[in-house]
Amino acid sequence: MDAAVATPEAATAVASNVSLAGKYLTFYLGGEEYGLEILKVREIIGVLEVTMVPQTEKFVEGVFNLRGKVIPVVDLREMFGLDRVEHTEETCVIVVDVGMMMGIIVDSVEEVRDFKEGEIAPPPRLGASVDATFILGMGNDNGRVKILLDIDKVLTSGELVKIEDGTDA
Amino acid sequence: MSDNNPKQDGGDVSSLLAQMQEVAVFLDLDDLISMAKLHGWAEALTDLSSPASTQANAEMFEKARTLATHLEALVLGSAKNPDETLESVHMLIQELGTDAVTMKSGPSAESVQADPSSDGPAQTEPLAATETSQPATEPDTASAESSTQPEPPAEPTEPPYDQEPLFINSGETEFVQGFIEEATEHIEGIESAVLEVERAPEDGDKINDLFRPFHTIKGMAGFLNLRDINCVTHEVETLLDQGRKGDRKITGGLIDLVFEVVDILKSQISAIANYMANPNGEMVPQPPVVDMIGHLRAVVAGRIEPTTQAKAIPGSGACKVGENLVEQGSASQAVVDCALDRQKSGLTTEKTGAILIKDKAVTPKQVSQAIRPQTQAAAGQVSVAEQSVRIDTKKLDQLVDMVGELVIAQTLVGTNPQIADDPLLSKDVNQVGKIVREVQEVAMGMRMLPIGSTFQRMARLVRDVSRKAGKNVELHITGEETELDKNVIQQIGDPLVHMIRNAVDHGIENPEDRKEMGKNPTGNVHLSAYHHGGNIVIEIQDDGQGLDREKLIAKAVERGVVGPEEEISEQATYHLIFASGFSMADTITDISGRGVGMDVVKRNIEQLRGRIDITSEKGSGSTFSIRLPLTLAIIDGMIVRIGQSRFIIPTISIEQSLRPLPDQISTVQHKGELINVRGELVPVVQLGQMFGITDRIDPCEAMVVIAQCDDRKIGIVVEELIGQQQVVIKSLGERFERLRGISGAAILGDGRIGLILETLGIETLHNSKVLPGRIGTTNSALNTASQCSPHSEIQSTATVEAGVNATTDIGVDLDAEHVAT
Repeated sequence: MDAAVATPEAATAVASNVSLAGKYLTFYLGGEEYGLEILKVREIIGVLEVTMVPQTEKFVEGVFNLRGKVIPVVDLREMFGLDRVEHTEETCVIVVDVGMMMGIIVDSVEEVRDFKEGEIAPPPRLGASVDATFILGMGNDNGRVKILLDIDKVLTSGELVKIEDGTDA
Repeated sequence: MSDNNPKQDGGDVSSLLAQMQEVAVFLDLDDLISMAKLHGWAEALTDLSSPASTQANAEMFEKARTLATHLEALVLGSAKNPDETLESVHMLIQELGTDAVTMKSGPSAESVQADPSSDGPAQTEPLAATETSQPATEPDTASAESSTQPEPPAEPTEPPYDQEPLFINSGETEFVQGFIEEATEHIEGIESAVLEVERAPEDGDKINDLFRPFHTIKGMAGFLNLRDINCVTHEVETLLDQGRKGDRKITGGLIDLVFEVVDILKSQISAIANYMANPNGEMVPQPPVVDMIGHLRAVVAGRIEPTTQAKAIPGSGACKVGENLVEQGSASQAVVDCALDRQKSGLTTEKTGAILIKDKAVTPKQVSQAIRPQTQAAAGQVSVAEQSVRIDTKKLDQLVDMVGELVIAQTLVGTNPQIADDPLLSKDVNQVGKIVREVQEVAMGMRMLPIGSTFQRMARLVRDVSRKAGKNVELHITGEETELDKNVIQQIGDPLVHMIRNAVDHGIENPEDRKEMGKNPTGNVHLSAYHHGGNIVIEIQDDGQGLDREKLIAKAVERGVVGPEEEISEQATYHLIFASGFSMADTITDISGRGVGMDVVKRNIEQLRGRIDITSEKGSGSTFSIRLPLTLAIIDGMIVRIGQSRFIIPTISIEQSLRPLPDQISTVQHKGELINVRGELVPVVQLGQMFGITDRIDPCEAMVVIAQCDDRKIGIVVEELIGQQQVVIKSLGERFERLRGISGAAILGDGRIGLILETLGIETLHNSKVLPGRIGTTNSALNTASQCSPHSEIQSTATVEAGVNATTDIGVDLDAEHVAT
């Protein structure tokens, strides 16, 4: 959150010809608020029984059965390097369509919020420690900052399966 | 027709009738569009003739009205006897035509009573007086339409067939697509029929069976204006007709010729298919048929004997209708030839029948009779087609998937403890369960096709290859009706081709050699399919020379596949032929011997989750058995538990499972555990450890599943065998494509997902990963592995050793298995 507050002046790079305005599903993750385009969301379900898949990255929780479809689930906390926590009643799986269906585990879902053009600022420069390429922009929700994720990039840019060599643990 | 302006009306009526005659010539019961057109014209005709002022007018009115009624009945499908109705439609149109002529040339009571059944060429003379409204016969207009130069038609030897560029009317694409599919099926039918004919050349029925698909293709091609196909098939048909009537002996040369035509048809059709797939692209020229047509014509005319050497010999032209007309005695060959000639030289684009009618050489009735057999054949085909529906395989897959889910959901409901409390509910749930299982069976069955058509292709192949190799080989096919998943059938074709080719080319000896060995000079190849324990077995058995073990080993040593000192088992030796680049043939022929093929065979069969076993005896032949799963969508699997995870091991790769006694387990240089199963040493795979689920499990306190991978075995340690179950295979998607040892997932009875293991991948994983990590420790192999990069040397030696171990193991394994089976 602190990092996010420092954002507005970090402008530039983003080609703002693509309008980011629209509806976003916002959710909590490790005390931060995130949003992802509602058009990508297929459904929100409680945490299901997930089958672990070997040889995969740590953030890959496994696969689960969504009405007969086998869908991979990733733990966003793990992916963003946050601490793992026990799943609670509020823990949700958001099923998103990023070319294929994938589930992401988040702490809790908040609401669907309509962000207008002026309410979205370009992604900030957060320094080397934070990868900002996954961020579409920063949504300003009455003073609170929501990190709007480019969920396609988040989920599809990396490999799920670890490369097989002597280094996997 | 009103008296004050007879010429005007006569002109209208005659042009209307000319149109009607033309359409009626090619009228066919399924051609609703033409019928509707005719119906419209018949109604117009009734209007034109409605002031029934004269006797002739009244008659015309009556006929036109009857015609309209008949056509309506045909269009609506309400005709009691469509064939008869169609016949009377033809008759009426023809009579009307005659009437119109007589009316124009002055009323004549005699010509009005034209009896259609007795009309010969002489009867048509009155028609000659009529001027037709169609300009197509006029050279000026026609040459403007056509691109080819008109050839002088007077020449006694006619010009060779001119190939036309492929043109597909954009409105007909759907029909053409249908044609491609149907024609492909018919060609398959032809191939098997040809062989039948060759077997029993005297059997007229068999020739008929062969004749029919050609006829159908010809008819369809004619309809779609695919002239090349139409003409080639026509010539073959003529040839076959001669054979059918006993005018021509069915010789091997003739059969070869028919096969050659089939090949041409195939390439033609694939060219059309290519064009259809990419209609905006370049116009794909159809493969040349000119030579073949010329050759066929020469054969038909009896000028040359049927052989496969196709030479371009200008032949006398004859095309379907013309041929039939000559046959009927309705027209002389000369008249037909003249018409064909004009047609070919590009003077007109009309069909033969239409030209002849215009020339007044024949009546439409005669043409329609000449066309009738063709129409009937087409109609017969349609009624068969109506019994099946073409469905997108994706939809079928989806259905199978959903049914699989339904079964699982049903099981969930059925096992709910609450149901037991309510007897009525329990009964209903049981009933639903039964229905669901039936639905599942039906859905599965929908993907199944008999393997017969694939086998028939092999018959053709055996024939071709044996001829080429100068051998006499007979193929015996059994179990054609055995049903297999469509995908499996599609993918088994290529491997079968390779194996059959090998059997004929390498397996079967030359006739002389066979005689010397006291064998029948004719070799036999048996191709059979049958069910065996939930699998399909396809067997290729030849009574040839068998595999030469010494030679195989010598070759293998030469190529460095095995070491010179190595002991190798019988099965392992035979499996050497599957190694890439390994050829047993001393000489490379254009049939086989390049060493590619068998490795592809093996890979394809593995992709189908099948396996090959070979038995062979030197001097008396070899048998290749391919074991395949019934379907690709479902497998029989053993569900096993390791830690909290459940995995599915395909039953086809399971040899046995056992709880080993401590003295069955031994370690080799502390590098790996081996289990002794009835004298075979099988490497033990600690799957839980490898996948990071559990620590090492003591095999003696768990179960070991002995699984086949390639020609080797591994023993997978599992904590529990849960049970055997059929599961619907689900892909894990491309994101998980790189997973090794896991081929997919399945939804288990409780709705959770189990991963399907793939033994070959597990073995590879085991060899590459666990072995080096095992040195001197039983800790987590994975952790040790991560630190072992400095020991890369050790690692590689260990792998090599493992490889050697594995190879030596094979012998024991498979021998034992052999004894068992």
